[in-house]
Amino acid sequence: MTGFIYTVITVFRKEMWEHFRTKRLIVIGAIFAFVYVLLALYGNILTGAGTSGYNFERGANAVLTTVLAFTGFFPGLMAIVISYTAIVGERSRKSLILLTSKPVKRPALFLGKFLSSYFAIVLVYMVVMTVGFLGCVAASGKVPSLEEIGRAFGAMAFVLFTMAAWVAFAMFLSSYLKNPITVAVAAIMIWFLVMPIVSQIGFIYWIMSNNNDGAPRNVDVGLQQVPFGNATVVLSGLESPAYAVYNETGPVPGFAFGSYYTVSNLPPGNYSWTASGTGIKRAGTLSIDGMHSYTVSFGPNLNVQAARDLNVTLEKGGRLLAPKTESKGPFTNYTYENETGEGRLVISSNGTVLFSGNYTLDRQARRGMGAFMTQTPPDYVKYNQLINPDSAMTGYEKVLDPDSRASISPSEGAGALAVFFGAFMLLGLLVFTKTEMV
Amino acid sequence: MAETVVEVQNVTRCYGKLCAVQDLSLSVEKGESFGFLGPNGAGKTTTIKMLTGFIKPDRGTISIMGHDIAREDIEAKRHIGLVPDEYGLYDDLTAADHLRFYGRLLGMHHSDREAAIERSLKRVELSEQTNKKTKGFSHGMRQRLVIAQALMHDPAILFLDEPTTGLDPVGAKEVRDLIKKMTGEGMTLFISSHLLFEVQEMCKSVAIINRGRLLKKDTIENLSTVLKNKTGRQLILLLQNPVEPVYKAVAAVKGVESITVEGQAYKVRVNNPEVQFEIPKAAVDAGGRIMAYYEVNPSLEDVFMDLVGVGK
Repeated sequence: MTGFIYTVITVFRKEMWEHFRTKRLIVIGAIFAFVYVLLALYGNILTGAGTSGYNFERGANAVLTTVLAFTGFFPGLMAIVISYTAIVGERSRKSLILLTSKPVKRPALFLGKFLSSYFAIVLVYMVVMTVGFLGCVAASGKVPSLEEIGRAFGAMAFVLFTMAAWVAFAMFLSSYLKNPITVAVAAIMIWFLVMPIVSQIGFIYWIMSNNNDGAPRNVDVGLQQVPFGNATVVLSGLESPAYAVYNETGPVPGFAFGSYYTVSNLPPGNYSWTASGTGIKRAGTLSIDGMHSYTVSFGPNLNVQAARDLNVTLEKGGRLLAPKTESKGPFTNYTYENETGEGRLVISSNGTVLFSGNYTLDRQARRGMGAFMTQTPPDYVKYNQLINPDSAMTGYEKVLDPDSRASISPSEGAGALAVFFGAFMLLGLLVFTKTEMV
Repeated sequence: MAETVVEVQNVTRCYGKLCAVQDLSLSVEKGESFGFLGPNGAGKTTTIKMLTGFIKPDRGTISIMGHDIAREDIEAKRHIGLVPDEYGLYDDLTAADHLRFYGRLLGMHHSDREAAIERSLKRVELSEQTNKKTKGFSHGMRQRLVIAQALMHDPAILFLDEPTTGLDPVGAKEVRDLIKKMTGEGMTLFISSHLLFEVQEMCKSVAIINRGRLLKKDTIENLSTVLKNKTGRQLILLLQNPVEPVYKAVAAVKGVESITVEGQAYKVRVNNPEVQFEIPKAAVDAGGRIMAYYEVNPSLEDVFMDLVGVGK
């Protein structure tokens, strides 16, 4: 064993020993566990209100997706909290002089400290995440497939990469600045500014994004009508959108949020709408009459959610397949599992056919990191169309927007993270090695 | 010819326009206990930091056991033990944990390391604290543990920077006794201090530095002799009744240059060795009752003050 590696191991062992003798790791782990439980429960309630069902009913991966989405900020913060004192702590405690008086190479000291901070926080993170995952498995009552387990831990592995980048960043500041409080403040301030970017390129966007290969993405321009009381219309589907809904007398005021535009409490009548976004302009009309509605989403499974007095039938090759049904508030969910290929969907009310048409279940290959967490490939669940069968709507289109790139490709994201990690490791090493530290 | 452990040649180190050390040259031989003296801001700490490889000189070379500290710092550091003036320990580690950690960094193998831990702790009289966390250690115990870590690998030279600063009288005496014991064992020591009586007690030779420049380097004995020759002999006349007539009688003796009264003692400086017999006679004749009469050699403090000057 060379002297360099022996030094790295020596520093690593001693630092790990100290990490486990202080309360910092336990406190970080406890806070993270608390946040995990809170988000798992909160995410479950949140998603239960929608059409996709409760997270726990869908399995552990669904819960984990919510937890990861909402804790994108946490791993970076944990990494900073554990590592910000690595060098500056030695300096302020004045133990650095004894350490560097020994016949050792400074990069070995730096590396030993980096590895110990990193593995300490990885250990805490993985313990909480693994126990949490097993808890979710138990709570959902669904045994995940090997593929689902692979996706779950694959996503966690990616988070570990972002943590390495943050530890390197904190180590650099710890080498560069001379006061622990200054390091903590600077690290957290920069983390706060940079976090959204790094978190997204790190993992959130890849997991949650509809299209993760960086290619031009499909843009849906359409309407959703939410069937309670007078109609609520939701326009969605574009990035950087400008939406508007009109009645005979002019624009109807609505509420814009992100890529959504909501107009509430619309009485039955005739309306028109416009939607414009990145390189796209669309317009159409809408007629609202009555409150019967259904939702169809196309994925590997065909899911139909309809008001109670609707009948939904599915025909395929002349054979009617029995759906799995479930009542949920004013709706009934029909799930046709594992259906592929083409079929015919018929929705009727009191013997009157309200809608009939062909559908295609599209099975595209899963691509990139984004497929890690979602049980269905992301492309399928991008559009959750809510149509009032008694209403007439025109203008709905699905277009390929050449100017709109979805997120960032896995290779670009990994590259950016690698640059972030590599740059701060190098800077930290340079500062620690070349600066007169004592 | 004695082996040279430290060789400093024409070393200069500046911080901007201020030069902390200028053209410093000195050497320390094997077995020498060497005191490095200077007032605050004289350049002592900068010199020690350069000697132990923490900072590099702008000009000049430093070698430890023949290894250039700037180019072969790893090799040079293998021969160095350092007791810095300010240091920190890891509160949650025991005394043995500390030495185990530093022993590993020194590249010591398990059996050598464990033997060195036992030996070093025994040497600094901390054997009973082997498995106790340093969190509860007194300042003196911490200092002794730091000395133990510096001794683990039997270094060719031990650098001690202000080794008793901040210690209570008991702790300071323990550390002084320990250093004197090491001196007796023939260890090469480089002690930086501004406590002159300590250096006089612990060292045989000294270098005095001021404003970054070396003023003198010699044995304490030689420096004292030189000063005595320069300023004359100093005799102490301790009287039961230091009254005015006695003072006048002693002052009137031919060859007496000056008298300083300190309580019951007259410090009499003379320029002629023969005059020493005249002084007690004159005092008794004037009615003085002598309690003691002896000669003192110039102390290191006298030498230091002579070279550096009061208030400079």
